[in-house]
Amino acid sequence: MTQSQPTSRHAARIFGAVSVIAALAAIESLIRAGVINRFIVPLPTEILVALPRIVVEEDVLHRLAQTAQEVLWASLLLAGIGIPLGALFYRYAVLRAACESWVGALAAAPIVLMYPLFLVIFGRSATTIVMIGFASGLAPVILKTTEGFAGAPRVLVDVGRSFRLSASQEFRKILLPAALPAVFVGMRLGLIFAMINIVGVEFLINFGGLGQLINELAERYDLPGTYGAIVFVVLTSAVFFDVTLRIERWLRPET
Amino acid sequence: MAATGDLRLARVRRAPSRVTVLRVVIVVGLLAGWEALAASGFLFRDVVPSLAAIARALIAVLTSADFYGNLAVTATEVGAALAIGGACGLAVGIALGANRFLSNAYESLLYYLGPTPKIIFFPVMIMWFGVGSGSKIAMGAISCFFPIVISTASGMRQVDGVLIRVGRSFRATTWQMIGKIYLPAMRAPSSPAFDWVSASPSSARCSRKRSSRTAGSAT
Repeated sequence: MTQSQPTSRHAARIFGAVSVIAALAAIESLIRAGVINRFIVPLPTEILVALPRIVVEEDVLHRLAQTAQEVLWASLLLAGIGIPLGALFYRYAVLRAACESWVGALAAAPIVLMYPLFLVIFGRSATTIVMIGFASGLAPVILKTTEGFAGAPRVLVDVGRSFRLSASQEFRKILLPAALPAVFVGMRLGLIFAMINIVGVEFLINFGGLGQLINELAERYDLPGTYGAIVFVVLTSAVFFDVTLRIERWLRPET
Repeated sequence: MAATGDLRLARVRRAPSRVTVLRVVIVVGLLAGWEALAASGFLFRDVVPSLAAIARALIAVLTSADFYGNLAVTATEVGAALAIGGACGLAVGIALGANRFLSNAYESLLYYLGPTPKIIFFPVMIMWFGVGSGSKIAMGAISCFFPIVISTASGMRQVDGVLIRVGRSFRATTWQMIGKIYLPAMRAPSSPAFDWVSASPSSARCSRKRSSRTAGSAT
């Protein structure tokens, strides 16, 4: 029973991969047969061939570095501003009661639509992209940080007080370690929101890294290149998501 | 085990007047800050207009007939996107949640595609559906498909096994199982995903803005 479960999971994954390849082969056949218009959907083999071309000719690695740099700056802002704000919400419960629902509403607001305002304030530059990424990722960081601090077990805090810990010792030795897993969940969610919006704004304002690449290739009507760039962004997102998930699991081994 | 923050929050909520006062202070502070920024001339006047100018513009927008026409178009697009993406998401989520093999085969793909910026599919959607409502509805449907399918599959796995066995012992058909057992039991896990995607159909709205520019440049 225990041996057959990993085997069947492995078989299912192979089945999933094979069925995706079969679907791509079917699309290739339908395009070649003229059922699907090749001026709208290029051949999957053409997309595959276009991948090394866009890596070399479109300087994808440099663009990836640009997007990564923007994500890094946004993450530093998120950590530097979002986590202290979350701690502030925990420290002042009245502030939390007054503003928590507003911050929750901010998470659902389409902040990316404010890009014209950001453009005029910060110019058509990486700063605009970073600031929109930061604004989009702020809400989950604040909410999860507050949740993490608020979830610290009362008994641990009482133990700390019985040892007469100072406020800063209580924060460093008890509250912060207890809150860290939830803080990281917030950072991961915030970074995902930030990255989605950073690539989105790069696409919208035609500036920066990977988002701009898709825009440029689409405007040149380089269809295999456009689809190839989309594949590249999806792979980058997948790697980013996987890495942050592994770090989160390392921090929260019980999940 | 009691958590420190919950106890403090409960104490504060017993005195709602302090919360209301703080809320009023924050709102007034933000408005005063905005007005001061507008009057300072630090930023262009048109970028940060005064509150009076914003109020006048808001009234003008709300009294304009065009606004309600545009609102109806957007509402229709959001409704259509939610219906298509939600129905597909529910169907795929139920299939993945009910079948361990399918879940192992495809769910990891959905997890990886979920956080991808959906706006990157917009050029493709324009090619497939044109610059009209179709491409925006498709973008909205793609955006809401992933959170709904992931929440639904996760919700399906949380359905009480007893309920499923009861349904099977009554020889319920697949549709009866879905309608009477699965959907009612996972209403709670799935509804936040619906709330989320209906509250933030940002990609559809972005697409709308973007496609009007594309249409403009094409003409």
